[in-house]
Amino acid sequence: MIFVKLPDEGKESQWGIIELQGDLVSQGGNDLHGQFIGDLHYTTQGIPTLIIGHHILTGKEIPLDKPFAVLERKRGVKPDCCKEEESSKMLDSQTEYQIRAIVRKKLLFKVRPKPIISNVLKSV
Amino acid sequence: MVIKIHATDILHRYCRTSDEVLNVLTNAKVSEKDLTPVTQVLSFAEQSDLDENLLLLELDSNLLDILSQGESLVLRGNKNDSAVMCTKSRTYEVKTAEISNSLALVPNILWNSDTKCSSDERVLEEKEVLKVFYEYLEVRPCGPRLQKLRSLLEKGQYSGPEYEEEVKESGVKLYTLHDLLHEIQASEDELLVALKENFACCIEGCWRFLEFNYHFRVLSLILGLVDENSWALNGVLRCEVLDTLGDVVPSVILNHLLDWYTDENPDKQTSTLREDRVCRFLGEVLLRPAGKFNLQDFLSAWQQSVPEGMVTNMKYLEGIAIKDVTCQPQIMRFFPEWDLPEDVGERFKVLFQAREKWTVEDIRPYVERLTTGKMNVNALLTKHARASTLNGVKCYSARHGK
Repeated sequence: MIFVKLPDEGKESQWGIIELQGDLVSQGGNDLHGQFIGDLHYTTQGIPTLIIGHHILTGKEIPLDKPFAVLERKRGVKPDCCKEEESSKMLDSQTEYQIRAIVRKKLLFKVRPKPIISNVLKSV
Repeated sequence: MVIKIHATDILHRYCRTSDEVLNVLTNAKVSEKDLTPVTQVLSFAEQSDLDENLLLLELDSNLLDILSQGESLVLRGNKNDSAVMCTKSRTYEVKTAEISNSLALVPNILWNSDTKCSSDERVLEEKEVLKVFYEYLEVRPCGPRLQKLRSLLEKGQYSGPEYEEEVKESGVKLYTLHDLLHEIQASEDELLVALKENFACCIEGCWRFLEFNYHFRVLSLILGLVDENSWALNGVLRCEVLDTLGDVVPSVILNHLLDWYTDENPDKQTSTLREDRVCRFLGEVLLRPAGKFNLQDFLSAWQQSVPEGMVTNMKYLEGIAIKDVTCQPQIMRFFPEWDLPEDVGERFKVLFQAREKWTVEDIRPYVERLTTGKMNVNALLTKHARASTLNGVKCYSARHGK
């Protein structure tokens, strides 16, 4: 039996999803953790614009029909009173999931990214 | 489509400056004037447990309401079951949905309306992508999965106080509500309804089925007492029943049967025996050991077995027996709903094996439990059976039958 519950403290914060076609990979296959991705702007017309490497993407801010709950698996949550030999069993059957946030909106970038061609002539 | 991140950008974590942002904008031929003054600088979060431990769960409006009211959701079932998620009152099927797009989760993201501050200088806000998802959990309302309930409770049936020592020695597991919720994929409310429907009784904290013959014996004692005292069917004195039979039958069992078989009258002193339930059980008493019964013989034996003043009616046997009119002489067959498979397709298969054509009324009790909010009996029949008309009566038969 696994529980899912809202966190005891703090209001859910504004979490969002950026939906991209395809995948983000690093050139050379480096580990992505901690790496810079790109700049996200909004135009004055409200169009989200994402610049990643040599690509510019324009998208749309849209509410989700069915919001997402972001669940965090909390392993090893067990009552303090439980006995040593029972604890391994408890770990199996009693994983707690906590809801970190509810995502109600996303930025959808579904058009093909446009390449950015730097102005080479200028530097010649 | 793969978007490659420029190699020079990923050599090390660095603090991006406004100049760099502006430079990229110039290269991209985007005029800064056309943008709101906030730039969100996105980077991947550092490696952490969250990479493995975060999941996305899609919510419908009911689940969202329930969560915002502070109720928790429970995932139920053991490793062999497909996952279900329960609120206090409903059960949902949980499935993984795979997607070809990537969903980058960004905590504290600024939406368009959050970036409209008036600032002369460009404001940089660092935001992290906590995880990129290629799948999420999808939920769909489904009925409770109760099949296991019977097999769990069938072993530790209650046959009276004199057999309790035997049950204890046999080491058969008895189940509390808490235990059952661990095993059964149903919400608490749905489970309690199912326990009630199956006539389970909570004895010293554990839910038990009553052994059929014991159940019959206790009901006979009660009906015998009614007869002995010449009480009217609507003049049953509950406290007298408890007093008189208290020595032979534990009060928890007496109360359980009285709750089921009688309704309290407005005067709060007397109760009325329920014709439907008494007749149904006594019908089962006749049919269960025989399996089949000549229809005419059954009907007269049944009527004779019920207390005077009660009139048997075929509708009382809904879901436990069917009439077979195709053979001569016609017969009554013991055909309990609880023995049918839980799976919709399997169940229809068994139903059409048992009988080729069914009227809606006849089949309803056997398929009703498979209905969900969106799928009522008619929708189920339309999907899983073929309609035809026999002597002006609409009938359903197997889709791919003869």
